[in-house]
Amino acid sequence: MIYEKYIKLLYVDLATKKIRVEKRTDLYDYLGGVGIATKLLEENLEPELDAFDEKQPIIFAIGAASTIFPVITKTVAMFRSPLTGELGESYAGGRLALTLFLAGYDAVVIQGKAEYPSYLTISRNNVEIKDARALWGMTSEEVGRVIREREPGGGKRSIIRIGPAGENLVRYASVCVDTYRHFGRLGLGAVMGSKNLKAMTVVGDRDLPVGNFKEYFRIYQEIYKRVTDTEIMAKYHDAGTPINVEPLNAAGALPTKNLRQSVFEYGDNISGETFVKKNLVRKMACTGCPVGCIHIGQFRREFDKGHDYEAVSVGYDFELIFALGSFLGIKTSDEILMMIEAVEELGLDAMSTGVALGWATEAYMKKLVTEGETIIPLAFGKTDNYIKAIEYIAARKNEFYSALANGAHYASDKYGGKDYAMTLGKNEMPGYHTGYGAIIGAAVGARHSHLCNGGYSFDQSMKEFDKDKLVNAIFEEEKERCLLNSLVICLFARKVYDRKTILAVLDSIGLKYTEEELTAIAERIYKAKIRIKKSLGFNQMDVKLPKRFFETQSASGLLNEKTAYELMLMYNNKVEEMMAKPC
Amino acid sequence: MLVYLELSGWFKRYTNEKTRLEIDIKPGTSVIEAITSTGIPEAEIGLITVADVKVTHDHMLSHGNIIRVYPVIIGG
Repeated sequence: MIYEKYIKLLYVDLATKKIRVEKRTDLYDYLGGVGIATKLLEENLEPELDAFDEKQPIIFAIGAASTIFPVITKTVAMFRSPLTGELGESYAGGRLALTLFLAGYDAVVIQGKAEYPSYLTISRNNVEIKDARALWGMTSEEVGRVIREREPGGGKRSIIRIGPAGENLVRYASVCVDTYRHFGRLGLGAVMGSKNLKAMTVVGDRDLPVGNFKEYFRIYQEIYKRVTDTEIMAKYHDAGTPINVEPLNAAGALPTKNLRQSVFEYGDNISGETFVKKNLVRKMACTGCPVGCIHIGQFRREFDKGHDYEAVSVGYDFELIFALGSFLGIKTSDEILMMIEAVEELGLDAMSTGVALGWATEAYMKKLVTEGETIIPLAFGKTDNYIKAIEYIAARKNEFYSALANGAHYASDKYGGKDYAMTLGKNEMPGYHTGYGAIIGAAVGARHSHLCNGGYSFDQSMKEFDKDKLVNAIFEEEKERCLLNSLVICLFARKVYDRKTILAVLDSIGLKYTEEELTAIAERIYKAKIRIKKSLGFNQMDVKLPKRFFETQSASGLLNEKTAYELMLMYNNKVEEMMAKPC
Repeated sequence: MLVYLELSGWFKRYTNEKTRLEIDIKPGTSVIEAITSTGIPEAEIGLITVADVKVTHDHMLSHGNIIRVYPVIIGG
């Protein structure tokens, strides 16, 4: 906690309704954010129990400098993932980090299952578990609106909530944070649903005088200038991450139609430029960010006969355009926004939904499943049917959609088509078929996300392919991100927050660390994550890479399956070497 | 000799809003030299193709080549 020698934790037991606050000095060994969340997960996890067992914890954590420096805007959530069965780690922006910071909590640990649907309200001096039975069944948008009207604290409040998919335990259900941000990946929404927890609000209204204002302001200004006056972050504000569609498609790296192709013939129709020209209406920022990378697009929808139309606004980003666009052969920006709106309302992770539907479409085409199971014919490019399929997943409509609600890995175990169920470590793939870096990065990443180590970026930056260099780069980046995430810095700003800057930030708020200590913290966090994964039965060499990765041209050419497994083994050896070293 | 540069929209900020440029270069000029001569910073340059084929920065240009330049991929 800023200016204090302890980390302040709020424990909430939804079953017994017991609330307690703890102050811990030992957690500074893990700095904050993902560091303390990992340690708390390790302490509270029940490895032998299912992800939905009521004893499993959910942990939300922020860092010591959250939202008081530019782009340090995120909150981390950790849990046992119901999708992969192992480490669950997800990040969201919005106002949550600021409100936790100003409510005075570094982390919140939620345990137990509420007797009936409930929502949790947290403020500086009060924590309450309230009746949400009337909210159960509502969409993310509806429940947000009701809580906004019902609860005090507007302007200093964050509202996070789940939709019907979370209630129905869809294993990749997301959590909507302040309307346009999400804990998207790995099924936090389902874990909240399993606890009968429909929503959580945090009101932060503490007045916190800045200690050593002169030094704080000097460092703040330095970072602010780098963020706003240089080109480092410009693209994120400009067209945003959708700018990636064009270069990835040109490079033959844009996963298309369940990765049957890596070039999309309608790529220009769904490029960042097209979204800017046809749909972009607004840009927004998370609290504490001067960049504003959240792009809001609008599409027109007829809601009644007789020329009655409404304009619907939804946030869009590259990964959503990939998963609900090229991956499903969707040809226009308007249709992609319609798909995004569907997953948004129902509370699903867009990436897992799109990739799971990609598998389902191909399984239907290859007659592994029939229309009796899919209810509607699934075909690439057919938006209306996909929107119905999204509704069926969220509702677990029948046995087939219930399997699909457990993820592409599970569904392909049941129905076949493993070679084209595009998951890595049971998590649906990200939108980069750039080369070995992208595949191995997600396969070995602690949570099997492209954000664990940015493996895809090495496919771009490495002048020539070198196995040792690639494995080392991924390994070092994975560790360094443990440090960045212990401050919960938005990873878009990772080039701004180098070691020197991190030390200056910490120093200006009274936390003295050396560079060696930061290195040790990063490794300590990574080791704790690996311990958790092992306790949950994870073995890196059990990860199977779908054959489709090696059948479709990537930006680095046709990839070799044997080489990919060799890289994974090399990485695993490095991890084992690290784990063998004393702490 | 003349080569033609076709740019992704992002690069307009460096080229007075133009997305197509004609550049007069000396024989022996590499593709990266030709592109950066327009004011586009090397750090911003991702994929480059010449005559629709992916090339490296040191690729030597010929008269009439059509060069396409794409920005570096961004993300977390």
